[in-house]
Amino acid sequence: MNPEHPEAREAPREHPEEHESHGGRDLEHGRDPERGKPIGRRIFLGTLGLGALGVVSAPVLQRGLEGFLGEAAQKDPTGLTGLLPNGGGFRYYSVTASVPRKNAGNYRLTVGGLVDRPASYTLDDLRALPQTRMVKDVQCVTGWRVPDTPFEGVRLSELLDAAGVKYPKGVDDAWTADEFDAALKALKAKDSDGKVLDIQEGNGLANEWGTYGFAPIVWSAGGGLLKDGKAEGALDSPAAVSALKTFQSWKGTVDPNTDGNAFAKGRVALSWVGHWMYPAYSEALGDDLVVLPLPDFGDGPKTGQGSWSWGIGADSKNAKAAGAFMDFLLDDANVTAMTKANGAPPATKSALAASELYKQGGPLQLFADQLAKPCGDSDISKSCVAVTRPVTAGYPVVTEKFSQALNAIYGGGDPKDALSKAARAIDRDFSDNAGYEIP
Amino acid sequence: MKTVEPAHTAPSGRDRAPDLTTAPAPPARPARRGREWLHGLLMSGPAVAGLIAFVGVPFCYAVVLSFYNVRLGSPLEPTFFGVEQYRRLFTDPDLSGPFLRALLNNLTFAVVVVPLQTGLALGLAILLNRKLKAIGLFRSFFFMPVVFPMALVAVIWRLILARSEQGMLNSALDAVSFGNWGAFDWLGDGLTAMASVIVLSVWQGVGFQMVILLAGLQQIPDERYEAAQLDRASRWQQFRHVTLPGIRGTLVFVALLTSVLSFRVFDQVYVLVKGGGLDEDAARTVMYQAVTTAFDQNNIGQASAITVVFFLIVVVLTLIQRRIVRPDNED
Repeated sequence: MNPEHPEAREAPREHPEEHESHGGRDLEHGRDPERGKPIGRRIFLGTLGLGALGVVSAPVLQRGLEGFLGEAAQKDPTGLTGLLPNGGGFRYYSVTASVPRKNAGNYRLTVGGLVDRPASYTLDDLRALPQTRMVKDVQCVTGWRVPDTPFEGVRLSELLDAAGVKYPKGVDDAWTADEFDAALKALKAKDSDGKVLDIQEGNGLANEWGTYGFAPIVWSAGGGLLKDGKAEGALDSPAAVSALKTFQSWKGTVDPNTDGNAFAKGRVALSWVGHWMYPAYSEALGDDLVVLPLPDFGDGPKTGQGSWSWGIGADSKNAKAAGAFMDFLLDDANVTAMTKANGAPPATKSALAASELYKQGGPLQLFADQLAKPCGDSDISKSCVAVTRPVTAGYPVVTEKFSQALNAIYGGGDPKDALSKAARAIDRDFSDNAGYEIP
Repeated sequence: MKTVEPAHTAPSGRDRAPDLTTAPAPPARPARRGREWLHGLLMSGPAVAGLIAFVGVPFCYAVVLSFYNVRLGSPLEPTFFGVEQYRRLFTDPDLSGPFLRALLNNLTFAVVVVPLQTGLALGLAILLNRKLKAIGLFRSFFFMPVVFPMALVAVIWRLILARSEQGMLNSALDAVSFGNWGAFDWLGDGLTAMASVIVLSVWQGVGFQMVILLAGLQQIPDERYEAAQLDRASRWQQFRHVTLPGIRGTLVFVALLTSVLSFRVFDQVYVLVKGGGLDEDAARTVMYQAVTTAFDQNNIGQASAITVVFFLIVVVLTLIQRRIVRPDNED
């Protein structure tokens, strides 16, 4: 910049003036009546004091009002006092015209339906039964929560046992498919949303869960995933088709279980799952949890079995070392440590017998009983229970095709079509690969 | 092209403009040609090498594999299969049914998604192309789904579209219809399975196209709108005769990009079929078919045949599309 230039000299003079005039206008605005009066010290402190007084006196006033309204409600035949806001006591929210009034004299609890000994209890009868006390948090759907609320009374399971509710005690008296069906229908009739069964649908069926969880239906009906290396005739046998048709018909009673909590939260009465859900379920239900075998579709109840397995390559140069390592992995101490961590049934008989969960008399004894009657993967008879999935290098195709068919059937597809298609695809794949025989 | 060499031609042809282009110095020409060619080769080198390594070689390899019976993890030697894989894809009812259905699903997806997503992106871009306070915030909100991985989006939408009254869409419809809406299985019903996939895909992807179109909109000079306003053009006329011609190139690019992306649809279908009760037949796409064949059933030969056929179809469709839009796009 050239200081002698006339324009350059004038410019700096203009700007301060502009700023001054701006500032002047702003100050005038400050005194504008539109802005309102400032809050004075007296008003501010006075408000603060009133607030403090309210905080101190409110509980006393509230208690007085509650006491008065409570008294009035007892004597009020019109029920109008119920409309007044009242912080304490219980309130009924009902969409029906009236709520039946119960007192210690006319209260009755009746247990009926599919039981051996129907019964009716008065309040005094219930008080005479063994009492259980538990302290849980109450969480309301509207969002509030009362922590550590004590509940005391008779456990539902005591009443059901007294009434003689029939449920399977072990593998030998498993429900038949018809009995299971009847149980679903009876439960559905009493359920608000009609969803009474969980099959872990939230995890999807077109995956290994589909095969592990529902191939037992096919096995129990007398079919199989493979018979003598062929799926046609085994997977799409009429018995298997009709069993999966029954499975399909249950969809209306199944909770989609997108949150994975259908059973633990008490939305459904039955859950079709494996041992891995035991920790969560037993924590949620305690002694009310009952472990049942899968229903029998005609050829005895069946269950899936087998998880990770180990192998040593036939041409391995270190077979001896690998064998020693596997001996180490499979001794009781390591099997116990592993299954303690993942909750699965221990894979050696001695570790199983010593397991807290799976031993005789333990809560999951049923699993041990089932494993004591193994079928292997091919010799599936009426008397055995635990079935190994096909031991073949072609298993990825078998499980992919079966679970796809299961998903299609569950989605409403024709069971016969879906199973035949899966069987043809499996067989073609096996013939393309020389039956997956090891050369 | 040749007018970019004024330094050489100017002295010899200052007064004779028509000769300007036809009289370059002859001896310099072959050397320049050679150098240009070399530069061209060098500059395209990285891209061409990448294309050969990641498209050319795998494609040729897939063609070879498709003539063999190849398995993952099989101790058997691959055996020559001839055109058996292709014969099965087109004539065997068990295999051609799902494959042709997958092709149809892919085409449906593309035909619906390309106009829908491009149109929606244009609408959003126009909506967000204004000077508002915190407009950056609004733009980021609409762009946000693009940042989410598709698998995550699929899992969230699974909760929205879940069957039974617990599904968010079902419960919302129930509330709006005063309890007259029964639960509907959006994913499991053959009629709505593909529509559900389309809706969630558009929701996830539209922000990307919106950002590109927004950039296009901001390149249109304000003077054009001013001129149009002086001519008393209505809002619609301004949009029709100023905005649209101004972003024609961008629009064509966005439509091309969307159609290429829409042929690739895979993640959401895989996640929802495997873990969400999506009707497999109604929603399978060719990529889903290829990936499950290759990696769930270990059938590499069959999967290669699927990808080869699909590649050829996509190339043909892309060429047709280029031919249709090219005359308008030539600058």
